[in-house]
Amino acid sequence: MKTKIFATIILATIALSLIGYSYACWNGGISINCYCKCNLIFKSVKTWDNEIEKDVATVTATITCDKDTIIVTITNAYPCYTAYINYTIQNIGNRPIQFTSLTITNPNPEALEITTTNHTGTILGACQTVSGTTTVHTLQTARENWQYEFKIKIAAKCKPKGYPRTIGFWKNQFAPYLGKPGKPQIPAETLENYLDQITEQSNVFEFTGTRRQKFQQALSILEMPRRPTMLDKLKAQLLALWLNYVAGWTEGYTLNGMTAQDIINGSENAIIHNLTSEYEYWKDLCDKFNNLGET
Amino acid sequence: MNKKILAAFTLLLFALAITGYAYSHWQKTIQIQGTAQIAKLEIIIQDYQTTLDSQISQDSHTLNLTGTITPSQSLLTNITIKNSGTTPATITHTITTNNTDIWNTYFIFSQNLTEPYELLAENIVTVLQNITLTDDQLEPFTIEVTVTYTATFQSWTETITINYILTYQEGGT
Repeated sequence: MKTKIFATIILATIALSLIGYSYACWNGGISINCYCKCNLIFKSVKTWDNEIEKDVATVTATITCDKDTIIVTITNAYPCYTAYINYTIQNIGNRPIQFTSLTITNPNPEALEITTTNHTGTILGACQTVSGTTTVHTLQTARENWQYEFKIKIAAKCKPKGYPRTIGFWKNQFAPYLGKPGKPQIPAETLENYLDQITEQSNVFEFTGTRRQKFQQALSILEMPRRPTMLDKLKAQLLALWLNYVAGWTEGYTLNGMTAQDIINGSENAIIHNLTSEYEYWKDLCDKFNNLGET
Repeated sequence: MNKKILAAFTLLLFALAITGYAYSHWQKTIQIQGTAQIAKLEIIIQDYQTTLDSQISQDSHTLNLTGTITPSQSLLTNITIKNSGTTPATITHTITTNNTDIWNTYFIFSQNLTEPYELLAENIVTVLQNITLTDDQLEPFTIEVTVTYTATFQSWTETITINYILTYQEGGT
């Protein structure tokens, strides 16, 4: 009985595969292009310290052959001695990666004070680099003629492929939280976080008040007045592009050689300086960029 | 035979599924591993020349000198201090005695260096200690003189001590 069930499943799998293959061949053949890779390495490292007059202690750092680890060696350290390690991480894959956690293991906090750049949450596009600095400060209570160890772990994961979404998509995210029909795909907390990021970075948009008030303000811009001016249209498309940008869904996309950031800067510049003749130009660029994911 | 083939197919399907799952959950950790070796501040009495009876401690940090002194006699002692640590050391000295009136003491660095003197790691310095009796009209007694050399670096300190116990001998040679 079991054999029959297995045989049926396998036959069904093979049959479906054959049908799919045949259909694909009929439509021009199969082309597998799925070279997706996520990887990151330490690209470079340099060190210095806080010694000015005397050169008593030294700090050196090297990257291992696999480029996954930096080995830091501090010799002859003494109270108040501070070593700085500046490193660069590069995404050598072809997909964006996101830093997920930072762990500092310092078994002797009475002897060493260790601080380091926290990259958690940062998205690193393909081939992009990010720099950070680790500081190792020797405290007064460090024991003479002793050796201390520490470890810093930086974790990252492959970021799911995102693509720019249209203005309609974003309307459908805010509307359900304001009592309108629909099923949002993005949690309200995340949406509010996006609006807060935009408020912080934008020279045009500012979302204030309660979460509901912020959502209402965003939806009003996206929906536009009944008889929208070109400025209204530009602002609606620009807000959608901002949302795509802070969501990390513009990574790796360009339009006419311009990144999302370039188009955002150009659009905001036009609005701030009342360059009315440029409104339509920038509106079209925002619109096209927001539709890149549809093609 | 059929069962084996079915099992192989099933395993293959599972393997593919697991591979896909693993890929979608790619995660990598890069790390910075560090070692901090802490320095050492240490000075020792490396060598000495004296006419008195001497005894040095095992760690070369304390030198006890005993003997007699007669009127107008000068007691000369050479002490070689070594910086056996790994940091520079700033050297200063203090003298304590139970009678400062009747003794003339002076202590100098042999190279005419002034205090505070900075002694680099693994280097040495020689100090000359001179004790002279200034009052010849004395009753017999014993005096104790303690000379302490202190090395400092940042908040660390380290000392060596030379203890004199001298007995007055009237009209000696």
